[in-house]
Amino acid sequence: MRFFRLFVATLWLAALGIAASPAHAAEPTGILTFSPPTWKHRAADRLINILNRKDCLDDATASFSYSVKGGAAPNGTFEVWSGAACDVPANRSATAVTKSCVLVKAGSALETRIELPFRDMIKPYSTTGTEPAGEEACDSVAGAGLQTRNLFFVVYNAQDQTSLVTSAPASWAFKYDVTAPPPPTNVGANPGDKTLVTTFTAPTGESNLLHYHLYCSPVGPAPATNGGDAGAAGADGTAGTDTGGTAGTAGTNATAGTAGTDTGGTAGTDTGGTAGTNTGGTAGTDTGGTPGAEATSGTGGVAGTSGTAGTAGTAGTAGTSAALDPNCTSSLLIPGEKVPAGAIDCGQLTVQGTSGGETKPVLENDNPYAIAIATEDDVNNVGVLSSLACGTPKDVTGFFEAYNKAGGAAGGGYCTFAPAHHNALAIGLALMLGACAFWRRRK
Amino acid sequence: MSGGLGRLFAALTTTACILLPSLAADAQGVDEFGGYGQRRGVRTESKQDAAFELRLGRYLPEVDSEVSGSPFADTFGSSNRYIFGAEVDWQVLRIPHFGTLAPGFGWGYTKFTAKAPFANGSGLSATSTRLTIMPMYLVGVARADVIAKDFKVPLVPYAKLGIGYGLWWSSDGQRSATAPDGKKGRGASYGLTYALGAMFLLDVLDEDDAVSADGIVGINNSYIFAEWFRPQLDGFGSNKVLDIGSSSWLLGIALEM
Repeated sequence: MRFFRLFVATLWLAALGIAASPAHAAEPTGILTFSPPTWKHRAADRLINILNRKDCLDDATASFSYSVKGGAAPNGTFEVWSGAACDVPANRSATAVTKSCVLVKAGSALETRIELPFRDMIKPYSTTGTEPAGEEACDSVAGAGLQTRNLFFVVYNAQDQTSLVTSAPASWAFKYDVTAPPPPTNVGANPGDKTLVTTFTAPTGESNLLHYHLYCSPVGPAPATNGGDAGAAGADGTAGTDTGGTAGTAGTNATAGTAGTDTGGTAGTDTGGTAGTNTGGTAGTDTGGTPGAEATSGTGGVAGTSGTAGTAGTAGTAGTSAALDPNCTSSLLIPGEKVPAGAIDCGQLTVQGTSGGETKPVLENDNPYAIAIATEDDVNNVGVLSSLACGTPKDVTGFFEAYNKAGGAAGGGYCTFAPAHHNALAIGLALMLGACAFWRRRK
Repeated sequence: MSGGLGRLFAALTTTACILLPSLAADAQGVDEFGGYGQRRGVRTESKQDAAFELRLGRYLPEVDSEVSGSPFADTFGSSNRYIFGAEVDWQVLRIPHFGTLAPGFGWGYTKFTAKAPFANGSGLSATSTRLTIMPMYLVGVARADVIAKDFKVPLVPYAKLGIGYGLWWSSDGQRSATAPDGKKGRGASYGLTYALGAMFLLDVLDEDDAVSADGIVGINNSYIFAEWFRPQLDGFGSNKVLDIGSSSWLLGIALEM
């Protein structure tokens, strides 16, 4: 009987031990599934996982449907993270040395839908101070070109950070570029026939450029607010701090002068005199000692040097531009600004290996035009306008026109038939028939 | 059979089976002592049906010959311009101790580009003006390879004669060119086409390679050639056809397969 009780106690203790074993030793028992998103505030014809600056400015928002099932998962902490390998708890930790994840939104594992603003999906991994909000969030994204991130849907135990679910799919990958590409530089324009032929230097540091868009406008006075003429004022310099000079070292007291020695005069000798006349002796001269000099007072301390004045603010960068050529301005096209409504669409150039190109023949000859170029990247971000170049299209004489002026009568289309001269066509055909006949006879 | 000869035979047989199926098919009379059923000294060749040429040469159209003035030279200059092209001949007839006769089709492409002058004569604009020519021809080709085959001199003279047809089009900047009266700057020209040339048989430089090329891909002969090419695309003298004919020398490579 005693053996039996010992056996039962052992079983009981074993059961307790199993129950008390740490939870993290178990694999996630829950399953999280989610579907690709639908977007709000975004054109329907765009790819769902490639986003651009307009999407950011328009505050595009992804709506994901999801479901969490199994085990303790529905009661876990549900969050969506953006970055790389955010399903690893250490990468979500606030103490991670290298941040590669940022929390997009926390939700509930009991819900089935979550909305994630695109701006939050591309937040920096590390921020200091207040996070930018609104459209400023679109300007705070670092990096040029197309970038890739993944969204991770995680459900974990808040106490020990262990994951409670296996996600299927593991993550949702998306690409984005919210930085509009810079325009080309050194833009020039040469006259063509109803066209301008541009030359420029392609922007550097961009890997996903698609097109250069050419915009034209008649030359005219620049608007009064043309920022191209003057740069923004520089920020004021920080005021200098007047620390005062260091007090001068107190002067050393002069050594007191040595007191003069009163040597006195040598006493006259009273020799007496002959009776009757007491001439007396000549009184001795008391020359006295030289009086001692007064002690010189100590030199006062030198006054402290005044503090250095604050550095003046840096002058504002000069506006791109029109100021360079007062004769090449436009009331519409303003360097550094967005493409204005009303500008003439002068065509586009492919980026590959391009350092210039011709506009569409949409300009009028003998009228001066300004032209500016904006760059578009492969996610359809269109940057600001380049500096202006101006030119005046002129009539040209191309080869075919010159040929016609010289009396040539050919042309009109591939199907235009021109009869042969001197029945030569018939001779040619006869030649062919002869060749065929020869061929048949040989066979 | 000695062991060495046996191994050689085995190696040759294996190589032939793996690499030279066409050669093996034609050389059905090969045994361990060599080929049979062939004339002694004659190399076993695969069947030869066609010739292919890649061609590159000078091309200056004779546009100015039919008009007053020289619009072509004034626009594009008179420096050398070049054309590249290709030709394929179907060698349907072999005449013993002469060579081959074949119908052939050729195609070429060339483009002339220059800056168009301002109409007021104040110099050149930035607009490019272009003339593109795509000559084609259908010719009979006679290649006299008797010299190479019978006299072992690696030269093959040849001649071509037929009709040519060339498409041409002109553009200014991004626009198709038009005349002041609205006529479109494109059309077709035709005329006789003929050529004379000579090919140098490259096989003599490396007979083994030539045999391998025949066995592996069926190339019977390879050549470099020089040709005087005369596409006379003037519409048989018509003044309503742009004379895009030329008379010039071409160089190229040719393969007979």
